[in-house]
Amino acid sequence: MIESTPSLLLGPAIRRDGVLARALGTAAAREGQDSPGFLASLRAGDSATHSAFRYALAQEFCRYVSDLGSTFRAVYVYGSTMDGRTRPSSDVDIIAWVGRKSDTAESLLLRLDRLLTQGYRTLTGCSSLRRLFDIHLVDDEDIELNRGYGAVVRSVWTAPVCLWRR
Amino acid sequence: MTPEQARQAQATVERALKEVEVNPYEMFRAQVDLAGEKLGYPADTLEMVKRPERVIEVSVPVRMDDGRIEVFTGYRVQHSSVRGPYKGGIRYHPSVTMDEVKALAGWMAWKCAVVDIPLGGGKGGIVCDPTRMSEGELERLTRRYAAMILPLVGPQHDIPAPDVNTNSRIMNWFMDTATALRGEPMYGIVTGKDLAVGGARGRREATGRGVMIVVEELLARLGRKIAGSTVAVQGFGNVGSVAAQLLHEKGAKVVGVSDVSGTLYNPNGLDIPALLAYVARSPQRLIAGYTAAGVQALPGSDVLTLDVDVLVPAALEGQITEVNAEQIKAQVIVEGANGPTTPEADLILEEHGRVVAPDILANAGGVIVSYFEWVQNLQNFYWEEAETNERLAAILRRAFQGVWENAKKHDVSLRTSAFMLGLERIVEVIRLRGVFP
Repeated sequence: MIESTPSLLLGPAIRRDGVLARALGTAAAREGQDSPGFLASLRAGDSATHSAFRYALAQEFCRYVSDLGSTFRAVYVYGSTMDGRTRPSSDVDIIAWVGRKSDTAESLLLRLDRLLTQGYRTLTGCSSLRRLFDIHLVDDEDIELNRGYGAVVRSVWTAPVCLWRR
Repeated sequence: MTPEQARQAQATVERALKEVEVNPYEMFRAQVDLAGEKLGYPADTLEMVKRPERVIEVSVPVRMDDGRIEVFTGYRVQHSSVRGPYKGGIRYHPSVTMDEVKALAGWMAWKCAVVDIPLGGGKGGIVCDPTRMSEGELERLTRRYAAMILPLVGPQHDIPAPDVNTNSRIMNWFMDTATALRGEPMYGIVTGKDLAVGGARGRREATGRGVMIVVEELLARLGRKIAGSTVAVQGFGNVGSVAAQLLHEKGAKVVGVSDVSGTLYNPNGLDIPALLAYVARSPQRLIAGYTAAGVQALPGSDVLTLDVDVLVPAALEGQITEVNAEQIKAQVIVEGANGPTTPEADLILEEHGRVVAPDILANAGGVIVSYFEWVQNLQNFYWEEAETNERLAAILRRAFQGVWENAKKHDVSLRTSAFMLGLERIVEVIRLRGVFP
């Protein structure tokens, strides 16, 4: 992109970070494969491979938000990424706990999702994926009042996994 | 898949692994979705405002100085005309892409709506490297591009303007080509022309003047005044130098300014008129080498973290990042440049209670005076600079008030507020006009 792009059209800085390569390497190592072999399994639509890659991407998400000042307090993952039912078009269900919800955080996370969805499609050839992440922001009040996705954090039925906590 | 296609696919994957390419049009669509969700607009309405009304791609053959013909690719995207004729610049750059032009055309529709001028959004571009072209090649490129898109542009339809690597000279050629081909004066077909061929008085200073007005308005909302406030300005070009000069004239203490050659800092305030005179005399038009009592030379990036009340980033995009955002001490940041604050930095600044006047509003002085130029061309009646400045201030102050009130109403940042306000205004006009047929 040419310099002189308005603020709201800028992509998140994580794009330059080799984020997809790192997630691919982490997931492949966990599955005992090399990156090219793992990528081939991804492109073939193997369910376990997709789960492993999504889990690694969720870890990358944690790494990213943990560096953004002290806005984020914790990140939880739940749903198909954790139970191995992932299909190539499944999203990663994330609950991100912040001190106070803000439009600025929402805008950043939406851009992050669009960016990584695009990268993911390029990498896996899966054009049917609508969005890679389904991120729900919760704040201190949601957690305290057990409200909305704040209640999911404490749910015993769909207990999400805490991937990162400040 | 042919071996060549397989090789290209592999290269694409390898590129994605190194760096995920940002699609600015996708970013634009994301912002519309977010603002639309907050305003409770239905998906079909949002789809209508997200998509450009018309997309034009042209082949532009140019006889180069060495005698061969080179065929360039040009774009013009007409995003929205619901609020008025399409308006937006033309950029010349080797990296211009259709998706970038689409995103920027949409952005222009929003910018015009935020400041409430009766224009829509458009943008154009030619994939070329103007730094490696002669004056004659650039002229032939411009004239042929103008001829190629002429059936779809015009004073009542689509009005281009300068953008990255284009200037008043290129606009003069564009206007002259249109005049020759249409056989009648076409001054209003582009803005940003030289004064002698229908340009507007005050156009050069417009963006910097707008920045000063936004600083004044924002400080007033925070119970403060320009007079006595300390200011740092990053960038000492058309925008930064004018903003620094006007803020200085209003009694601000401009303690730091920077350009590519470094930062100048004086805790007691820089003598801005003397610095401007120095830069005007300097062969490279840089601040480097300026000396005066109490002035220290610092590294360029230090200007961002000076202990000041107001910071005006008026240089390049992506200057305030997650790396330096926590060190920024200014309570108020007014974005004279496009995109000086990264999305991550925005979050960190917000966490630290900084107030950011977003680029879509803070640097809108340029498009407002472009609107004035067009109005004067249509009337063939030209204003004095004082009239331009007075009208600019009135429009920008009203726009700021709208964005500020909207932010309070929805409990959002000024950036989100401006984008929501733009969307509201565009959707309201669609509601009033209806959808043809």
